[in-house]
Amino acid sequence: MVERHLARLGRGLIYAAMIVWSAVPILFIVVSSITPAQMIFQFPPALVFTPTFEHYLTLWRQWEGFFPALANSLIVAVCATLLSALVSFLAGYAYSRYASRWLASTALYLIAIRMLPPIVVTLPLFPLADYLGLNDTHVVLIVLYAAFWVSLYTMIMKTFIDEVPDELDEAALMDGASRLQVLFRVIFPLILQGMVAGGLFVFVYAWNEFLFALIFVSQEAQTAPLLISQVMGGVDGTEWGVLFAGVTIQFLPVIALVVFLQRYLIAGLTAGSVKG
Amino acid sequence: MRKTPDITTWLLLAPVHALLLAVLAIPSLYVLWLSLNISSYGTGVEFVGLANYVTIFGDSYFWRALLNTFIVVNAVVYSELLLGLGFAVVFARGVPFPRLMLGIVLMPYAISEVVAVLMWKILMDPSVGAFSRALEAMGLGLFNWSVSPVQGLVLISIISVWHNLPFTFLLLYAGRLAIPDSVYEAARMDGATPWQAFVRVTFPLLIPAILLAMIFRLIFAFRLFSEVWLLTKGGPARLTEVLAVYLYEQGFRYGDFGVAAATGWVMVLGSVLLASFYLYQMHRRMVKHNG
Amino acid sequence: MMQYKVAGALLAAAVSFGAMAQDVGITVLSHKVHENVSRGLVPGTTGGDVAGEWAKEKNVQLNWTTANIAPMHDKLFRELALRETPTDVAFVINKFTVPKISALLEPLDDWQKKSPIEDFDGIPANFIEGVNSNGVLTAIPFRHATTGLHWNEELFKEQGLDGPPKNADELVAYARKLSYTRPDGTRVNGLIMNSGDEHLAVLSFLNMYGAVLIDQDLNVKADSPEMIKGLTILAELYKEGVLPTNYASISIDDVITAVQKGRAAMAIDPFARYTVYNNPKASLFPGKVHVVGIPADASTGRDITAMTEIWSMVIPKHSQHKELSWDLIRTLSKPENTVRIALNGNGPVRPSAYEDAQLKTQLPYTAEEAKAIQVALTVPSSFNDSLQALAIFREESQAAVIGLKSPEDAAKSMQRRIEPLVKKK
Repeated sequence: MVERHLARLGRGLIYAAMIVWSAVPILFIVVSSITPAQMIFQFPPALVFTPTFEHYLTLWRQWEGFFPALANSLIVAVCATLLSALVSFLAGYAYSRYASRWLASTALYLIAIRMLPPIVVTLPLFPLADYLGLNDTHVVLIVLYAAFWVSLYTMIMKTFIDEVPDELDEAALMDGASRLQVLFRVIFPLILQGMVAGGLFVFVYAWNEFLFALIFVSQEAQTAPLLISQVMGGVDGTEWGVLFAGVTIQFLPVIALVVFLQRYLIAGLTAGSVKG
Repeated sequence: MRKTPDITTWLLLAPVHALLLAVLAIPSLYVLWLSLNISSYGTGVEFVGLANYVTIFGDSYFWRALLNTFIVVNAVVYSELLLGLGFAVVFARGVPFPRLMLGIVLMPYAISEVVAVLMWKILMDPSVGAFSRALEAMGLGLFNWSVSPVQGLVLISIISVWHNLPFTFLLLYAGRLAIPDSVYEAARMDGATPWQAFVRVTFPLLIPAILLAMIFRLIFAFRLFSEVWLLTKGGPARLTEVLAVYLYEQGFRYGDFGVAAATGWVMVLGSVLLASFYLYQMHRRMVKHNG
Repeated sequence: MMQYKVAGALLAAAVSFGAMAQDVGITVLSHKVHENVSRGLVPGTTGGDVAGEWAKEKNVQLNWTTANIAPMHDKLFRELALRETPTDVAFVINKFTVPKISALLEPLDDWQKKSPIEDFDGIPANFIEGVNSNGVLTAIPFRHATTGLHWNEELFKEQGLDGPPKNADELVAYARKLSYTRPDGTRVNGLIMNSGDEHLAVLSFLNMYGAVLIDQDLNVKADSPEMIKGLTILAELYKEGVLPTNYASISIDDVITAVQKGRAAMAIDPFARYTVYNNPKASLFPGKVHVVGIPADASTGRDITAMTEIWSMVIPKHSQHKELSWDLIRTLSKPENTVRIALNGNGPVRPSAYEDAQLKTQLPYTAEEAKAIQVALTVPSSFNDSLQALAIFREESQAAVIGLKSPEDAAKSMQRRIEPLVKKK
């Protein structure tokens, strides 16, 4: 009897630890965004205070580029995710259904090519993008973000497609379907949830990415992280309340997305397998 | 049975490889060539052969950065492996409010890296950070991460793990969920304890997921930058500098592109060496499975 | 296939998007603060929209891009290498305008002759020298940040002191006295400065004793007795807990927060920080934090010491709108506009601006700052490896202060490492 209670207590502690570990720093941000500026870095932290929305108001008034930047972030993130999802799906199918030594080597190359630090790659890419007239457009970021995730995404797609029996392909082909139709009518519905999981990685990356946005974009396609970093880089110090407000706003859509995609994630992660 | 590749295969692979070729492969070759030159803002390129590499390998700060990177990468990858496995097992057994818990556990990954580091910096501030004061109160002494390079690297690793654990966890959890219950039932009927079930059943079947997670986590960790730059700036006295910080300072602060390119390729070499075991395992499985 | 159609549509949209932005316009690249002061964007400031008025008068669209200091310079420098630079006017800080960068900027002597800046001599010669090299005019000073000593009247009173220190020894003694725990449990550090990622404040402290890293003739003086003395004192203060324990990782925000919350009694920081320290919204001591010139040691023969960083305006060599760019620079440099921009919160580079009555009422420290500008030193950036030199200073001084090395070793090491960099041309 005691053992069972101890076990329960132990499990409860583990759950509590996981929650505290994950959530506390983030709660700090959200709570600070509605804390009056004077009390933000008090120690001991003030537990009782009157919440204020002045930081959000200041953000709205003084940083007028913020909401357009969020819109740009959304465009770039969605398009990058769609592009990489499609491209990785096709490639993942190829790696799953076909085999040869050569093919396995190209898969290895897919992974190895990711090892060069992105910042060095910007050295030739910046003048190239300028030459193509792509600087400060959404396209350049979309292409870059997609390119940087297709390696992993392809491998994830491959492992999920591996779980779908070849026989289904064969059956459909024998019924006269084209390879494309097999892909989109047969395979796609079965791995949709795996695709969502991979897509989430890309979306979060694109949503928060800073380095490429900084280098390739200035005004028209300015994304949210660029703006938020400027709130932090004030020559007269950071306006913390405003920063936290901005971060909270920028953070909420991603959380909403994760919550919304929950069912795909839990179920999707069940349907796919990485047994290899 | 997997088929031998035909024209359809290459068509399917074309988009991915075209993208990679244009954005990564060709620029990477240019960077390799750049590493054999001297170049800076607005100057052309001047061929110098291996001089940049000689400079780097002769710089004691480079070796310190390499050591620090090696330490941090290993600390981060293996901690995340353990924690990720632990979380995956806990979730697989069943947690209360699974959707809520999953959301909470994924939160650190959703937040921008820069903000994450900033948060930890504040929470670990020696005078006013909630975490550091709590540690002090618990009698664990003053956590002096800005003075002691060892403690600095520890905090950097902790922050990196905090931020990226959801990534590793998600991949491992996927693998864990895919193992059918029937396998566990069989094990239980054979009298296996939960620990034995984990070692004999879970772990071996998770190896492909583990390989994938570790290779990519290793790649990302090798170029760890923000955690160091925003926390200690590589200090005190450049003692917590990692390769990505070294690269940034030499290449972009001081505008020495040749050295930056060379450091970049040295990092590729380092990543490949460190991941070689796992890459080989993955390649072996792909060929085996598909043969 | 479908994705190509989508990609094509996206590409077309993006290209047209980009095209729209290229109407007759001037692109300015700067830190947000420059946009704020040039356009009066911060509510409550009275200078007005100087840049905006100019744009309207010339019928030009003003595209202002902002970024943080390091990213902004990185961006600008990459652009300088392009055949056509998107940026027309940029605001750069003196430590980044090394000779190899100046070579990529438009020389301004001819423009100055054609349509000169009004009262160009009203800008101090040492400011002009501080941002230009090789005798070629490529940068026009716009803003300065000069260090002063901020002190918290209330904390001083709590420890029985009623005024700022008058010389270096007093400053050190006060700092020791002001490291205490307040009645409410807050720990106070006697002195704080941005020692983690900047050099200016620490060099200002060392300059109290006459120590200079590199003098205006490019002689490296890192191992002078004054430098060793200054570093030794700092190391002692650190050991005693007068300086914060996280000395090596303090950033600008840490300094500001510490002063605002009363966790530091004195701070070496630019004069302009006064507004932030006394901001009733964020500070617990509005109206109680004053600023004076940093008191010098008697041995230097000076009353006060100061160091300064200068922001200036430049035109990239491959800018597409040089005439308009120069006109904007001229307009922003006009004496009357300098005052207006100062009222918006800028540190004006014209001493005459400090005579303005409005400015005097708005900023109680104008007299002190005017005095400080007269003696302010810059760290020369007229050699290509000046950023490396600064990094070496930061590294070695940190090591000396937190006790990893003796001050003598650190000073000698600095000298040994920086000298070849200065000589390298």
